[in-house]
Amino acid sequence: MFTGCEAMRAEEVARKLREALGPKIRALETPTERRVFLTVEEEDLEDAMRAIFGLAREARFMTLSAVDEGLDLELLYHVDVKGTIVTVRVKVPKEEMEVLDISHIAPAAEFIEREVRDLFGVEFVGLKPDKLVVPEGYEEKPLQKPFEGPLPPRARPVMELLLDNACATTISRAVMKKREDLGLPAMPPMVGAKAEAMEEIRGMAKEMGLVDRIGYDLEKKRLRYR
Amino acid sequence: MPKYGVFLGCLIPFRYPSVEVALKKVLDALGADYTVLANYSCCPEPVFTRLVDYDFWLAMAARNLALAEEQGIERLVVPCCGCFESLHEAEEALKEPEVREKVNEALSKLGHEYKGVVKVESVVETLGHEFMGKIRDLTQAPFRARVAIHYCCHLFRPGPTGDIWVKHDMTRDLMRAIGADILRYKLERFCCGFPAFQVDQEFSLKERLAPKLASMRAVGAECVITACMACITQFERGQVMLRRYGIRYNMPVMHPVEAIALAFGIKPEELGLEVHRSPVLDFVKRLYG
Repeated sequence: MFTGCEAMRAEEVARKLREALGPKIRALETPTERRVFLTVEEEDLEDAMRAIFGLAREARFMTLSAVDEGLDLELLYHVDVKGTIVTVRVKVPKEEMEVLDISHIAPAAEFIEREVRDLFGVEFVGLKPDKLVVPEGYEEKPLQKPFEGPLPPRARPVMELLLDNACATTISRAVMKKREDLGLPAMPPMVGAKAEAMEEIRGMAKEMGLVDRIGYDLEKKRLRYR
Repeated sequence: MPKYGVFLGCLIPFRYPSVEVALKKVLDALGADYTVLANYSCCPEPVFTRLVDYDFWLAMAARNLALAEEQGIERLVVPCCGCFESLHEAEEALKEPEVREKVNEALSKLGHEYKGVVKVESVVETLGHEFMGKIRDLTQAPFRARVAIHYCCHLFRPGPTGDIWVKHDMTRDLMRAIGADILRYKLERFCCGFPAFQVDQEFSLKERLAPKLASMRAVGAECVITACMACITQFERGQVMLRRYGIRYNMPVMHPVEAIALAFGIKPEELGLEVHRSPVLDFVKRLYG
C-alpha cells in the first residue's frame, strides 16, 4: 500500500493523462482520490495504456473485466499506479469483436485476455491462440449475450423512421401523385424533404445521446439490431 | 385576428391529403390569416417516442414550437389529435422554467429558442372558439346526416378551465352548426382500439372496434366523425380486417373539416375523398346527390 508522499493521487494521475492523451480522452473522472476512470476509443487503447505505464515505474496491471451490454462489449483494464487504481474503459462493437492485445505492454494481461476471449468471444489481435478456461475445440462463448438493443420490436420501426426522415410514417408514390392532382405539393413542407434540415434532427438525437442509447447507426440509417 | 399556423403532422399529408385540402379550403373560406408551418418534424409521435426518450421527445416538440414562433405564428392549429397531444403536453411541460432552460440549451445548438409565445390549439378549438358563427353563416349545403361522433382520447386534455369535455363539445357543436343530427350511442367514450392494435390485433378489432361500430349502427348512424387520424385509421383499416372474422361494416369515417368543407358547398371531387378506405365517397354522393 502506498501512503503519504509515495502515493500518486487521482488528480495528479488525471492531470498527467490529460497532458499525455489530450483529445484522445473521451471521458476522465476521479470519483475518489484513489480512483480514476479513463474512457477512450478502441483505436486509442495502446496509447492510453502506454501513457498509464509511463506515469510510474511501479505501475502494475491488475486485471481486465468484461461486461456484455447487448450491442457492445465493454472492456475495463485496471492498473494500479502507486496506490491509485486507473481503469481504462473501451467499448468494442459486437459487429467487430476485435481489440488490440496489450500483453506486449503489460505481459500480465495475457492470461485474462485469453479468459475473456474464451468466455465472451472477443478477439485480442496479436494474442496467442491457445485457450485457457475452455477445452480446445470448444467454440461456445458461455458469457456472450444475444446481440440485442434496448428497444422492444414494436418501437423499432417508429424510431427508425423518426431518425431516418423525422416522421413516424412513410408516403407512397400514389399519395404523392394524388397530392399533386389535388393541387398540393408532392411533399408537405416538412423537415424530411430537406437533407440539411434532417441533419439538424439527427444532430440533436446524437447530441442528446439518443443515438447511442437506442443503438442507431447514423451511417447505415438503421438500428444496429433490427 | 391572430396569425394562425397549421401543423400538418404526417398522417394527414401522407395518408389523408383530403383532410389537408379540406382544412385549407375551410380556412380560406373563413378568411383566416394562416400559413402552413415549414420545416417541421414529426410532432413527435406521442406514445413510443415519449416512452423511449422523454427528453428527446420534448426537445423535438419544442423545436416545432420554436419554428412556429420564428415564422410569426401566434396560434398553432393542429388538425391531428395525436400531434395535438404531443405539442400540447410539451407546451405544458415547457411552462416550468428549469425544463424550458434545459430544452433551450439543446435547441440553441441548432439556432432555435422556444420563448413560450405560440399557443397550441386543436383544430376543433380554433373553429369552435373563433369561427362558430361564421361556419353557421357559410353553410350552404347542410351536412344532413345522422352522425356518430367518436371522442378520441387525445382530446380529453383539459383546457384553461379544466373542462376535459370542451373540445368534444365543440366537435358536437360544429357538426350541429353544419346541420348534422348527432346521435347518442352509449359507447361514446369507448376506445376505438388503436393502441391495443399495436399489441393484440384480434382483441383490438373484436373487443374494441366491433362493439363500438355495433352500437353506432344500432342507433342508425350513417357516418362516423372524429378529429383523430389514428382513430380514422383504426376505423377504416379495422372494418376491412374485421371481415376475416366474418364481421362486416361499411361505415364511412370522416374528419370534421371534411364535413365542414362539404357543408360550405365545396365539391366532393375537389377534396379527394377517395383516399378513404371506408365508403366516404359513396356516402357523400348519396348525401349530396
